[in-house]
Amino acid sequence: MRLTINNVCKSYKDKVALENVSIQLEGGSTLGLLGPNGAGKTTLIRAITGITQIDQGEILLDGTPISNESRRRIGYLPEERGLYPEMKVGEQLLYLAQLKGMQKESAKEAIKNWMRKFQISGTMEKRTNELSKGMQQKVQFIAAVIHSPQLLILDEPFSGFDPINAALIMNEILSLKEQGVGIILSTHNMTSVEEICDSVALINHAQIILEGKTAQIREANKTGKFLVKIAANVDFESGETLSSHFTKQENGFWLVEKKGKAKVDNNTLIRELTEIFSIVSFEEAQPSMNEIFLKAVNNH
Amino acid sequence: MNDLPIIIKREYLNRVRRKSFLLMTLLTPLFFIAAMIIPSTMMNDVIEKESILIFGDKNGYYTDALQQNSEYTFVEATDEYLENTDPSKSFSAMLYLPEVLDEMPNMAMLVSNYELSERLQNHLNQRLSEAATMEKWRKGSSNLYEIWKENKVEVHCQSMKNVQSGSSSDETAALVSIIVSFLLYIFIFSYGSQVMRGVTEEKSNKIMEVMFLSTRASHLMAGKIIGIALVGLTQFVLWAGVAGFIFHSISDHESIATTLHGITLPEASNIYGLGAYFVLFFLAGYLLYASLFAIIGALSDPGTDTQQFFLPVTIPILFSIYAGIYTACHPESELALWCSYIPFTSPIVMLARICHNVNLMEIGISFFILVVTDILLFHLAGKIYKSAILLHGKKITYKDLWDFCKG
Repeated sequence: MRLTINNVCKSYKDKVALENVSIQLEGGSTLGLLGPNGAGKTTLIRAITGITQIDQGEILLDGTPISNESRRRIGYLPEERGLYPEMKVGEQLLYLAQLKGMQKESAKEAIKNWMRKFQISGTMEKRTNELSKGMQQKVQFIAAVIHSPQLLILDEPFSGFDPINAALIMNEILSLKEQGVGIILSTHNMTSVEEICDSVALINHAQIILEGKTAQIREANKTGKFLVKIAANVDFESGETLSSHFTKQENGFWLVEKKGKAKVDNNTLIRELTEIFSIVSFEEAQPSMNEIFLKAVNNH
Repeated sequence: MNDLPIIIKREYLNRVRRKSFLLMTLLTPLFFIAAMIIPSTMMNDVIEKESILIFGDKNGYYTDALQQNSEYTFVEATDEYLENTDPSKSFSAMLYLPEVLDEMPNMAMLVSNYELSERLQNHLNQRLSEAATMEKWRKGSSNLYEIWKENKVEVHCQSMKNVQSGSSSDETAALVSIIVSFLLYIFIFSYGSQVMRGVTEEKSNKIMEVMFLSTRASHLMAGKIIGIALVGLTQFVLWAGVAGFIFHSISDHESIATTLHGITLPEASNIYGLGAYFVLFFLAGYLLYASLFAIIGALSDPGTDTQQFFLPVTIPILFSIYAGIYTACHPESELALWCSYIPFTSPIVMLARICHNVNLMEIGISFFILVVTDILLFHLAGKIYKSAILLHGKKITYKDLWDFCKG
């Protein structure tokens, strides 16, 4: 599976929703689609699913424009609940699976397996509106993956989940990724982005302002700061070495910042510090995705 | 893959399995039966308390005899009385008595605008027989006991309905016509609005976005309309079965037929023919209004006002039922004629006319116009539905609607 989004533009009467958006996604990888509310994430998802017609550019699935037939290879979990509230869970999933082209028997088998996996087998005969928010979200997730899609679009999949169930869903997402599914994860939950996503695309004001592999982005956004724990207390609050400043923090930690734009490697830094302190641990203070997100949005 | 049957199946089963469907299916025939029998019975009660004007009883002898200990009121039609009163407004029936009732007991004649109860007729026959026998005894010299025992006068009032109010078969046709018009109106309106509710429900929830990845919007709309039509047909078949059973039961049961206030039940073959026309005009009329209701459903949004689209659709269907009732009483009127060809009113009005025997050619033309309109409207509804169903938070104007139609 390969999703290619090339220079996609979409405008409404008085607003530009997407401006020259380009993204690539391979099967077996996860793309975090990030951005503030109203930035254009939902418009992009709707453009990929074909719900919204784009004004310009192209969206290709395995090199060909998305058709009614290839749309069935996409699984979609919308942010708000997209289920028939009065329908029984089992019937609802069977209906959605059959519409995706599955045979009745294989659909029934898949439903049983997924429901067992999510520990909700007992809700098969219940109406959807009788379930808790978390259970409904599990049903919604099953509806999105029941037909083994090649591309899976998840819009805030962890909403309504307690940490245990959120971890359950996260494991399933990772498992699907391992099976070769390409996943787009639209979320404000940066922890999940750090844990799941191989790459991210940050949209702000209809444009992609940051895109790339998660590791590379974090590397590129290094601040040159380190957290160092020392063995014994000292009677000063700050100081400096040849290539760094250091400031006392809480619980025996010191924040070490490289001076200016000096290209000093970590070994040199440690060697200079050991002349002053007895070091217990040395860790680079990498910026979180949340910090990178805020910095990028504020600078745009 | 053809997903239309899957959608139809869901729409159908989802509705027929509901308890409300079962309750409606069971209770509505009972409601209809009650609606027919209770007013008839009440009317009979009212009539029994009304008065009867007597002509020909010059000395008031028979009037007095009838009046004694009677729950009915009998008034002698004297010249003075007739000058001051309009008898047609004050009396439920008029009784003509020959001058010599004791000699001509079968010449008594009872005229009314409607069928009078057997109870009243028996009362009249019995009291008049007694009075005529006494009169016979008074005129002759025979022993009263002998006359009473061997030569009693048996009066039997000839009952007839006023010809100006129309023949019995015309009245039956009008009544059947009103019933089927009303029934068809209920069918079209209730199932049409079910389409609207279904579409609104889907639109207010993100299910449409999920469905859009699995099927075409036009299939969703068609599946819903066809599925709900099948629910309507199922209900019709069940009701027709119950009605058929009741029809066969009452047609053999004179007392119930009397209770139905003198309605002459139509021939069975006419009923089956009417049933077939009902199904055809229901399907065609429903398709027309269901397409319109699907459009309204697709245009609806919790945050916006869709009343502007709802009214133009409900007005013609409401007008149809009034036109249908008018047609039931005036099947040859110009209003009936025109409304039976205009597709928005023709399902109900043409069916009302069919109860009065319409030329097959006229039915064919009306149905053809209706079906062509159905096809055009269904196509148009598909275009609007596709564009509007995923539109949220925006008030849709008539200009937008025009843009949707252009595709």
